Amino acid sequence: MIHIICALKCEAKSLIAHHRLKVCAESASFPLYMSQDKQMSLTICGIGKINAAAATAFTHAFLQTGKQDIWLNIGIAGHKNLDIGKIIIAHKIVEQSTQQSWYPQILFSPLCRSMEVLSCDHPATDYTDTVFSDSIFEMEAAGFYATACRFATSELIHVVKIISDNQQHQADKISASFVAGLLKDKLEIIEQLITSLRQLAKDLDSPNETPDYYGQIIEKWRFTHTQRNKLKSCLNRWHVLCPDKNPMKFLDGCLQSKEVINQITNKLDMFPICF
Amino acid sequence: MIKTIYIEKQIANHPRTREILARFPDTTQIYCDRYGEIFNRKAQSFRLQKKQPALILAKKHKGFVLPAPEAYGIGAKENYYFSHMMNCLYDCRYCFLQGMYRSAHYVLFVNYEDFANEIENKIQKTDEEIHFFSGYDCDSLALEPVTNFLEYFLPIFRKHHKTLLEIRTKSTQIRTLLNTEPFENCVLAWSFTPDEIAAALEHKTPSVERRIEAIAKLQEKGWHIGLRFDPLIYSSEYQSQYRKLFADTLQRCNPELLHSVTLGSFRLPKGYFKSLQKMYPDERLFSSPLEETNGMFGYKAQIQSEMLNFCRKEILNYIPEKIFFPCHDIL
Ligand code: SF4
Repeated sequence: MIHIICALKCEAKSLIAHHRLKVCAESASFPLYMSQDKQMSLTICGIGKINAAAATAFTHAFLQTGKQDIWLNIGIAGHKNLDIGKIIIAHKIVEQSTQQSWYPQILFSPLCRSMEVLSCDHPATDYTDTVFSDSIFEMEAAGFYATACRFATSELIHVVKIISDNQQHQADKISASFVAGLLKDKLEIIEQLITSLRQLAKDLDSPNETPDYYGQIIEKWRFTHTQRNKLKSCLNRWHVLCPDKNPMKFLDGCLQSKEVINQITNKLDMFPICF
Repeated sequence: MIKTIYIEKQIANHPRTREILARFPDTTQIYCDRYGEIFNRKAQSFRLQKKQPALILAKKHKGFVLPAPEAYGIGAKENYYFSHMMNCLYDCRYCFLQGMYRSAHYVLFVNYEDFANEIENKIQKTDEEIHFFSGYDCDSLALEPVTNFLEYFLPIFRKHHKTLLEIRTKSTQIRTLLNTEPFENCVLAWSFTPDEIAAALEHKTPSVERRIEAIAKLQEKGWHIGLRFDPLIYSSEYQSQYRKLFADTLQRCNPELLHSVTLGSFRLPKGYFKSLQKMYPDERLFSSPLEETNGMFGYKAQIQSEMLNFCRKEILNYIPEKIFFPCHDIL
């Protein structure tokens, strides 16, 4: 699954339209949208890192997100002189108030440049302030990233920002429709990023929690919690070594769960290991 | 190809850092305070990072030279290892580094001078023969074009005849070695598993044949070679596979320049094994007949002892016992 966190509705508008996301009526705390196939969610968090952190945690709890889910914070940001409309992916996020840093891992080739993002507590007014150095500045990335890292693997968590204001075109000139337009123009790059992340997520195998035959076996014999774990690991091994064979065939004479595990283990130890 | 380099601010101006950064002008260069901010973070996937590892240039502060694990010994009483790097270009499925580290990025400690001081200290403190091993937390040569490890460390050992340096590798990056005068107390040690096993488990490594060719070239030049059949990997065909491997390697080595041959069993601490199994649930190696003994996962005792004894007998058809160092599990 993929979860997108945007601060403002206008930042989310084109994503909602493009993916035909529908508002989820049961979500009371934050406006949350879902795709029909339930593979994409988008939560509007409001401005600031605390809102971003809270909405990320809420999305996790509300949707029971998994370790292999993709998380994106997409929104607008300022920079002293980068062109308006430039899209940036964060390779470092610094929380201005604490100077704590995070380093999103970009393991694919994005179609946009990567830069440092400075997460501020207040909107920036002086674009020449040396505190910003060459970073782009915004207000949600640190709250979002630190929280999302608790729920998923960091390689699948990213922050994408589109420059909406600079020294020449300052934040007070921004309107909601202008922001929506900026995001719409960059949809293609965002979609490419999503595709790359989906590809990456496919490589995150994890042991099957309900291997083949598991249900059948625990219905027939009584297993303790520890034995169930052992059985799962035996059946996962079975799946690797002899996926075409049915272990049930070898369990006919077993009276107890212990015998089932022993019988499967003995069989497994006899299967040839070929490299 | 390295696309991202993280640089600890405190070594940003170290000449070695500057030299490496100059060689990679097209990389994204990101500054950090301590390498642990990237390398030791929770919620990382070693498996995903292995697809595109970054290079981290850092300073090591302590633990430059450490006592070597017992299994590493090849005859001396005092054995140490040192690691100028953490992690490896290659991707062997049995590698314990995958279980030990959270990140697959390469960490290069650029302060070689501090390693050298500590090595000198250890040498000064004893009259005994000391062996030093490189290639425990990384492959010593795989990133040689980036690290220039050999250029710096070989001269240190060349002048200390009572030491022995073992450089362990699977790499064929031997250009520097071919352009360097060999010396007695340096052993270049290659690890091997049979072709079929290497192809299945030692991803991104040079083939067995290419390693043998590298060895042949280096022996021609006069370098001493070690062969490390470590870890021994079980397959139903292990006897024919290992018999062929021993013939291919031992028969083609010049016995006068063959320093030592070791044999090691496949063993992993339980915690590492579990992480690896979780990372690669479909890997056949982890579905082999393994068992846990005293917190270590390895082949079931009977298989292990059969394999070790078979390999021992085969190896001794080619070499004298005095240069053979089997692991302690052998019966
Ligand atoms: S070559 Fe050695 S260090 Fe590198 S991955 Fe293989 S086992 Fe690990």
